[in-house]
Amino acid sequence: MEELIRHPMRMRANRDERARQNFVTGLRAFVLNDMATGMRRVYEGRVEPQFESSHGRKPADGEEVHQAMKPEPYFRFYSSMRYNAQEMVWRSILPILERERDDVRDRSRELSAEAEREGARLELDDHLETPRNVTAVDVHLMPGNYHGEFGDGDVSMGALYDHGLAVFSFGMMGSNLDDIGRSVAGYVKGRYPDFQPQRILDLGCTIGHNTVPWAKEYPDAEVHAIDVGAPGLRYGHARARANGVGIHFHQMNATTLDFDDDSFDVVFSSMFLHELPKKDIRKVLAEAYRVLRPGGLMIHMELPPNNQMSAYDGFYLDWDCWYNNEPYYKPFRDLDTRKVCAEAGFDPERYVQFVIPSREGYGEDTFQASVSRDQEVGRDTTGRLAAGVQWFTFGAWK
Amino acid sequence: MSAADKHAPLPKAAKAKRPQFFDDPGTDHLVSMFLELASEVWVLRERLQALEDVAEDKGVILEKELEAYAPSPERAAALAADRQAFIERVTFVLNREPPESAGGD
Ligand SMILES: C[S@@+](CC[C@H](N)C(=O)[O-])C[C@H]1O[C@@H](n2cnc3c(N)ncnc32)[C@H](O)[C@@H]1O
Repeated sequence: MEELIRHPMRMRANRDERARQNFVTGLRAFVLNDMATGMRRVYEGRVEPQFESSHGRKPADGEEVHQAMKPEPYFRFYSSMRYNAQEMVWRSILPILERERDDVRDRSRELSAEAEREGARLELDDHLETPRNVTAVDVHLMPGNYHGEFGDGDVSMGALYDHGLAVFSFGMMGSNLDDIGRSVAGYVKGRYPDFQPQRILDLGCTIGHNTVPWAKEYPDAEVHAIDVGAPGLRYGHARARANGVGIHFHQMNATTLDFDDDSFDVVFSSMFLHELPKKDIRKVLAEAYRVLRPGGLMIHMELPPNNQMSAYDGFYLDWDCWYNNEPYYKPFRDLDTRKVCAEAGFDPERYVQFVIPSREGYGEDTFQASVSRDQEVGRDTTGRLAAGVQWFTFGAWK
Repeated sequence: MSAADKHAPLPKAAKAKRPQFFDDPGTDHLVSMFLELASEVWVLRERLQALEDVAEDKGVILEKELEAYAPSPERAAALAADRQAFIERVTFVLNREPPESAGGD
């Protein structure tokens, strides 16, 4: 059987369980590639012209497109199939996890102990309060969410996230779920060959799947990763060891980092800021500024902002906000990224923004060729999990 | 396993309010059931395919061999293509009356 996960933390699934996962992966690919195309056709062919003839103008923003699309059967089927597929992602893992969880925990402990012996620390903080943005809803409809603990030293939510993401992403996040990290770290390295970071920090790392490539790209650097969720950190510490790198994991809130001023050369995050309330985004950016050394780089992989895309593309991306338990998604996308960086202390002249082609998706040649070229958000492949995805990143030099 | 390692059952459903997309909530439930059914049919088809492949290769069918079986890259690719076609078939109703073409394909 072809394995879902390619590193030693994988759980053993039987044939029918694997087939069920294959179905969900295929269903997701169908909804997000084929049905997405069909839905745009419905919009351009009928919904938008109807809106124009009754309003005398095109829809101004994503919300207006959303209201116009709501009665459409195609939108309703797209949405209900996508919603069900999301639930089925987790249901295709849970019975396996329920059966294998003791074994996963034991393997995780062993690998973690090996990592510790080799000098990679795991620092958990029992007293850290889990922020409300995490406790309030199960993000992405994952039962138990990032922080749920269902036994001592539990790693279940880490294992569920890793395996679920592999089913969810239909290859778009890379065969080791590290394409964002590989693309961003590789892009920074290619574009700034003289920049040699000694200390790198990843904020909101979950299981460190996109932290690992930083350690591989910059083997001499000391790499740290933080998150508020203990199960993911335990699992991630073991997972990094299983992937052949040593990373220090800390249970910490990104709004109040327990690191010294001027102590990192890179502060990175991936798919993190859009899960925070606006006031916390501001705090996190200010903390990033504080812990960066002068000459250091802050870089966030994120969803592209609404002000850089069409009303329809904005509507398409905001689906997650309305229907995938992502309440902070649209408020984040409504922010002006350059402005919030400046408000956190960064010089607006030193703001950066890159649209980076998926390194695994486009292949190494196209990827390397992109490093010296600037590209606008423009295309609808930017920040959208579908064939041809390109990652949107923004940040600033300190 | 020590007593301290005892654990609670994992939650089966997410903390979330399920949205209703259709006017009649029954329709939303039908979509869920339809997809579950489709998933089960697919599971059967994968198993059947594996059975046929193994039988062809060995002339003998063993449960153990079936579990260990891995399709060749060609078979895996054929199966993946089959799978997408299968999904298109069971959702045919959506594309039976193709959305008004915007001059596209
Ligand atoms: C979508 S996940 C990030 C995934 C990962 N970075 C990636 O590349 O796919 C968001 C993570 O942010 C964490 N998180 C939420 N609020 C946080 C906070 N205030 N400080 C640190 N981590 C936080 C959550 O626990 C969760 O693991």
